[in-house]
Amino acid sequence: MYFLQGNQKKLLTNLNPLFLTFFVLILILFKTTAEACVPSFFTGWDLLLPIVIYLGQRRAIWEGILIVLFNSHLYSLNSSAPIGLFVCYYLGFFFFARLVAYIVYAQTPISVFTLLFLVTILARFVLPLISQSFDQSIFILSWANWNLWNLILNSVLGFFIYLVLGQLDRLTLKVPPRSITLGDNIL
Amino acid sequence: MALYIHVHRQGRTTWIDSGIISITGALQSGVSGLVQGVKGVVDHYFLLVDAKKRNEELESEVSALRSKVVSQEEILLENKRLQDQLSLKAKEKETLLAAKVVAHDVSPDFLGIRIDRGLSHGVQLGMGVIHTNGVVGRIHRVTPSYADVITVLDPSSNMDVIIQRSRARGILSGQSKSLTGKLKYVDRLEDVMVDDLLVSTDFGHIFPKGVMVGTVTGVSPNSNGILQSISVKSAVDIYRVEEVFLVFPPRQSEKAIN
Repeated sequence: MYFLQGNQKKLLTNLNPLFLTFFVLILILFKTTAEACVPSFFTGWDLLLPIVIYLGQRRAIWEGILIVLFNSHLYSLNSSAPIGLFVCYYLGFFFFARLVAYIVYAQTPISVFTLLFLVTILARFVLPLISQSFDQSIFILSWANWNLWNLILNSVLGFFIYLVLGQLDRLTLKVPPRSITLGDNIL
Repeated sequence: MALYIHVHRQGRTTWIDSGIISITGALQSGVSGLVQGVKGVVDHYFLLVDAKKRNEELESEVSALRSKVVSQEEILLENKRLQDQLSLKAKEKETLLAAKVVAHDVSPDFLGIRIDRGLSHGVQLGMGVIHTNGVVGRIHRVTPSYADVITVLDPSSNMDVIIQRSRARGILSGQSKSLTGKLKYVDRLEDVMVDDLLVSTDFGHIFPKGVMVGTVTGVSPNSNGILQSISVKSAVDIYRVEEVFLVFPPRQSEKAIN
């Protein structure tokens, strides 16, 4: 984006939340329509969780809250879950990721993957607990809640979503461009 | 805040929500059509290898079913004759309205579907939705052009059912991720066996009576309690369903036709 002028660069950076929401919308469209054609063992992944963790780690708090609020509401409107359940759930994880960022700033592939894996496990406790408040019967101890394949799938796909968000931030000049040297990590 | 929203807005949508659902619904309808088109091409042109063999199998099945239909018609006529003799009042019929599934649930923990019928087609909250294979679920959110359905396997779904063979009654609750349901509140003395069929009741006039709901896949009597633990497999594969039928109760049928 070297050819853009100062104001144009600023505009592009300001449009970042819009691009991010557009990316969420594309993922929602894929998951709600095309996924019916893929084998069922590829269906148990949560598309918004890695995005919320990314925002918690790399965004200012108010900007992050607004994006999470809007996107979790969009997610709710495409689910049979009661309105408000996912807003609570994802806002909780946003604040969790924000707190974690003070201790561990996930930047290397291994730290990002580990963070996503741990968050996926935590999510298996948190969602049933929150859903109880909304009269939903998702049980923590049910076998389906602890399907190892789903935990791995969530972490792997979440890692790729994390990478795409990193690229999006670079393309929209949200993070300053840097010269690549040997030993640089890909995130 | 979220609990407040939940308590005060069960099934109702604001104009902002309706707008968002209309936009995403239209996009989902387009993408879904495209995906189904591609899938149709693959199914029809690339998977024709076994078509001849399959055709022969189906022909023999059709002839077997034809003879079954004839005997069923005989029973139907006899039933009608006996009803006339006993002067039983004929039941009012529900009307069905076909709808296309445009999207599935975005969350892996919930099992809803979105259909391309809404308030403008007479759809209302709580209406039943069925498929040729059996019961799908109920309407839980409706906008002018689209409606969202809670399927019988969704964790928030509870449905009154009876076991066809023994007429034992229970409540079917969804378990979502495991794609199975639990049949609750069935006395341990009731006669329930694996492979028993579950059918709908006409309780609340949501579904027509006797529509297939699922099959019993496991029964384990609770040694300490008075109830049985029964797992159920749904008659409809929620992930593969493409067209469904909305059930208009008898009093709303006329409105739907109009």
